[in-house]
Amino acid sequence: MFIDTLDQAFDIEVKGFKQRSIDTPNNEVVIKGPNEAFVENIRTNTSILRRIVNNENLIIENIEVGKITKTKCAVCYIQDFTNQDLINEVKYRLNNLDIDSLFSAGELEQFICDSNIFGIPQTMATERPDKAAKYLLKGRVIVIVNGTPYGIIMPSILIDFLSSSEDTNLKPNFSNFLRILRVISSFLTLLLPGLYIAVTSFHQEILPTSLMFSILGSRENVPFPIIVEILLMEFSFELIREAGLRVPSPIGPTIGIVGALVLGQAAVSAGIVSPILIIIVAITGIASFAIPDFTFGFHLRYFRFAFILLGFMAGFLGISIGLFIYISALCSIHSFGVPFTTPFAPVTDSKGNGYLLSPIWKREYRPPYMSTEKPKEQDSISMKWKFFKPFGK
Amino acid sequence: MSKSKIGTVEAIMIILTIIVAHTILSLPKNILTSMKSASILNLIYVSIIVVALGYLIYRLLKNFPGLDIVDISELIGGKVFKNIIGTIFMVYFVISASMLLRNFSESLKVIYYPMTDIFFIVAFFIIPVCYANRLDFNATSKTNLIVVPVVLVAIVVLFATNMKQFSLQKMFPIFGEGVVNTFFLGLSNISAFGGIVYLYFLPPLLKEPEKMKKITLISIGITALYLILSVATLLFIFSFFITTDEITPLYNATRYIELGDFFQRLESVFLIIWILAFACYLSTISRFSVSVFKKITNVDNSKPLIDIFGLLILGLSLVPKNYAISQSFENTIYPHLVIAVAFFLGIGLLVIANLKRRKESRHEKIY
Amino acid sequence: MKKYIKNIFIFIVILVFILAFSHSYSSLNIDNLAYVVALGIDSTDDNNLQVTFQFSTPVSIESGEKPNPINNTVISPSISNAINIMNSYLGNPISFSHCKVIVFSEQLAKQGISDEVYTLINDTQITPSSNIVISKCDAKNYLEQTSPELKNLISKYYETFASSSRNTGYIPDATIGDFFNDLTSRTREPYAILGGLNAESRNEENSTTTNQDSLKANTTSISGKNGSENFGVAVFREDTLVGELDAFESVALQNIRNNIDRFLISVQDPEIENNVLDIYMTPSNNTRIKVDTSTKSPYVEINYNFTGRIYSMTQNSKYLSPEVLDSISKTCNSYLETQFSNYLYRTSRELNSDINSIGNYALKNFFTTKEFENYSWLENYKNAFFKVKVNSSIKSGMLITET
Repeated sequence: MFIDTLDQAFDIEVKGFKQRSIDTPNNEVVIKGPNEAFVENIRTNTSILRRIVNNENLIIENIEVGKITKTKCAVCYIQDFTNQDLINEVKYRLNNLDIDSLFSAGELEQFICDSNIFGIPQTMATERPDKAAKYLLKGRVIVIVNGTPYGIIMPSILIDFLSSSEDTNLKPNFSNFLRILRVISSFLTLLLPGLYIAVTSFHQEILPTSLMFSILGSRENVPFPIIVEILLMEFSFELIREAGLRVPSPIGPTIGIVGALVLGQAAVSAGIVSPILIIIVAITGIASFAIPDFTFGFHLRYFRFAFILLGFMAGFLGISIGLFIYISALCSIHSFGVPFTTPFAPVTDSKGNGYLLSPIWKREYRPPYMSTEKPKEQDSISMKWKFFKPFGK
Repeated sequence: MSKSKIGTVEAIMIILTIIVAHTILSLPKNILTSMKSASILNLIYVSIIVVALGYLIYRLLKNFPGLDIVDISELIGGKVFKNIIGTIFMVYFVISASMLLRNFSESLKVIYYPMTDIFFIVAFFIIPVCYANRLDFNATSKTNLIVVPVVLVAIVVLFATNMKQFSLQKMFPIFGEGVVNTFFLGLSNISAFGGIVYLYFLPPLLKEPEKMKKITLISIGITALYLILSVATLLFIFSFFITTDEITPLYNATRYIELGDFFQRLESVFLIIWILAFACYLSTISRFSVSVFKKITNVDNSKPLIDIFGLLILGLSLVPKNYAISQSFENTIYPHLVIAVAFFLGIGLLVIANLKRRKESRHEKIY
Repeated sequence: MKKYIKNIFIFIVILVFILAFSHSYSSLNIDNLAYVVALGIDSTDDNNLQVTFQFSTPVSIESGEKPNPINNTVISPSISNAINIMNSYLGNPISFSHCKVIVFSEQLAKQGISDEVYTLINDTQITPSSNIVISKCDAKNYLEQTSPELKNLISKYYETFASSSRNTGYIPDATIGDFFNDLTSRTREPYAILGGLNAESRNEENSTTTNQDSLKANTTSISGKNGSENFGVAVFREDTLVGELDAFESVALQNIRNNIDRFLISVQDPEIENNVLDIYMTPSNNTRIKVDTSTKSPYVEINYNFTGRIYSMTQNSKYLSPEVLDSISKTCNSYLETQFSNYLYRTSRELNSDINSIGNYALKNFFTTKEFENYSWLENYKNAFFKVKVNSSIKSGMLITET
């Protein structure tokens, strides 16, 4: 190190450290988009973000959280238009955490969320920098925690948890189809086993007669009542899922598939469960994988047990009451001041930022519920090449 | 509850919860029994009258911005009068909630839970409502916003899928039981529009109080449309000459839906939607009664009150010994209660308050 | 500590609710119920009812063989008693949520079935769209002889057998819900499907009739493995059986009620001697009915509109020219007018039962229900006069237009 006006230099030994290089994202795979993911080092992450956003108004402020570990958290926002109250609130919450240590983004999410009702997440974690950049440009704030390859997006509302970063890369017809599919899959994850047990216990008249006789035929040799069967199979499915995370990699996927298939088939042949139930559990499991956000999917998986219990207890009455409480809980949550069920309740004009996407040239406005300072992000005629011909041609 | 404000559409949905809950029970059958084939004509006529009354209420309320009926009664007669009026409204809310709850639980018990004691079915409603009322008022209004449109769509679907069983000639004879019966005695059918009672409590809750007129007119319009659709479905399918009083006639109408060979007996799907709507109705009405109580007594913490009102509704709904008593209560006493409290008392109070204010302003001008 | 108490309290509440609802669960659970697919009710000599319950066993996945339906019969004073006895006999409570057909015997129907119909409608599980059949033989026999040849499950057969009402019109799609509505109505009378046994099950060598026009259940020449057959309508006045209609009269009924898609008629060929044309007629719009109730003898004008296509062909048919089609249309018109008129007068004068629901169209002429009730439509129906006008346009043959 040379210092101006001093005639001495310093030879300082500085330690460097190895870190993981930028890799493809593991959990948020996209077909048409970039394949970079965040890494553990905060400097690398912020540099990726800067590279993508490429604008001098992207402000990245460092805040240290944790008295002992002094974990660096980078609060990123675009100062041109992000709502100043939102930025201040995020910084206020981060600065007023009286804890010893902070190790991961997951812990930080739990510390700064508004309410913990039913475990519904109010912030979204993403490992894709392009997704983080897209949300930055819509007026949100990203917090990157050193040591975790995840950026936390706040605020996050219900429709964010059911959107994936692939949606803006495709034409709106296809992405709307996928979005509708995701809504159906979230209903299936939450309600399908509960509905099955409610229908077979109290409301068999809804089933078409031939289907009912198939169910009866398949249940002929089964010794357990339906509730025990369902709980057994759901529990085994969760077990396989959890075990699949820890099986050594060469045989990992095989064990998952073989375990599920063999277990299911063997259980049916032994007459422990009925084949129709295996189908129900399999569809529920597959539907839960279709939900883009891991935390939200977990929340739905967790609550399907509550609906199974309610369906068993009181049939459709139990399920409706469960739905009533669930909807009330969803509606009572605010994520950093934004109601969770915007733009459906309260009814606001989302100006093209609702759940279903409009064509890209119509997405002129930033989401009004973010109260950004620059509401318009596109001109009303954005494709000037198409509609304005130069003179003389 | 007074801290959070609600928007226009949410206010409309709050008013609609009452009609939705009441229609599931025997309201359409009562109209059909008394009016026979002139039911639709009578309903159109009654809706026009209620629209006029609603407009009158709006004009009278306009002179007291930001005040609800309890505050207005304080202006008329002081604190004692305010307490009396508040108690009347609170008792009205609690009694109507408990009575409708009992009837609905009885019909559920007959259809699906014949071996379960009625206490458990009623408690199954009350406990989640108590829990939901602990959340913010916004939660209830937003839940209404999500659930009530689904119910409105469901009644349209019910009407549309039953169309092939309709015989439109049942609309004739056009005057049913006679002109006098249809137009004069039929006025008692304004008790179907019990949702008007919420109008008196809305002004302090609105984010945009200038939209009150729109709220009034739209909510009465949708209520009328909903009623006409339900009554029309029943009128065109069933015969009304010999009255067989069914437990839940709209439920009976859903049993006739047949879409091909595969979809039959879809009534349970409708029941999910109606139970959701009923829970919303209970939640809204108990919230309003707690808030009125809070206003009269100036209690700080309203959380324990929610449980107490829940227990009160539970207890009152278990009072009738059998279904016949609670059914007769709903058919005879409840309509009179609605007309007395929602129409006569409410409009009367507003008229007196307006007259008093005009007299005071004239006094001030003189001096 | 407080949190533990709260959690234990919630757990106890859930347990209490599970116990409370478990009684209903065990009575309505899919494993514990016996599903009736058809119900048969006969009357016995000593004023009791003989009730037959037909169950279908579920298809076993391993064996995959066709399940045979099981019929259990019991004699008791009423339906509810019979259900009770059967619950005890089977061990599993009976559920009617998939009951597709309710069969009454002719003998019982002549005595009046309103009690049974009201009791069945009062049941929470009966589907209003279950078909109601009046069988000329015993209901027990009818159910025992029914053995569907083309379908595996008997319930599938029951679901679809009444669909022929729209394609041929030889039976109406009479359901118990409609029966109940008509029973309680003052503008029309109820009707039911007429059923019976086919020739093979009747053990007859000679058939009693081969004329297509007076086809009735229990009298046809059909032989097949399925022992039961359904042709015609059972006509009721209030809740008592007063008469039967044959297959073509059933077509007339379906036409007036606008419940038919197409039907077949056979008319004399106006061009070629001794040739009979079979024509498929399709209603082109709803039947127009006008009723004049100024006197105690109502005057009814009915207008039908059909389009037709010729089905039968010979070697020398020429159907392309408009004149030929015109003359065929005229023949069809006069044929149908005669047939429909005969049918209407039969329901009015002979049976005195307005199953055609013409009374609904009479409602327009009255201002109040009191006036209508004073007119007593159902009693005056026997004095009614009918003017039938048929307008049919025959298009051509189906694939072949000229030979």
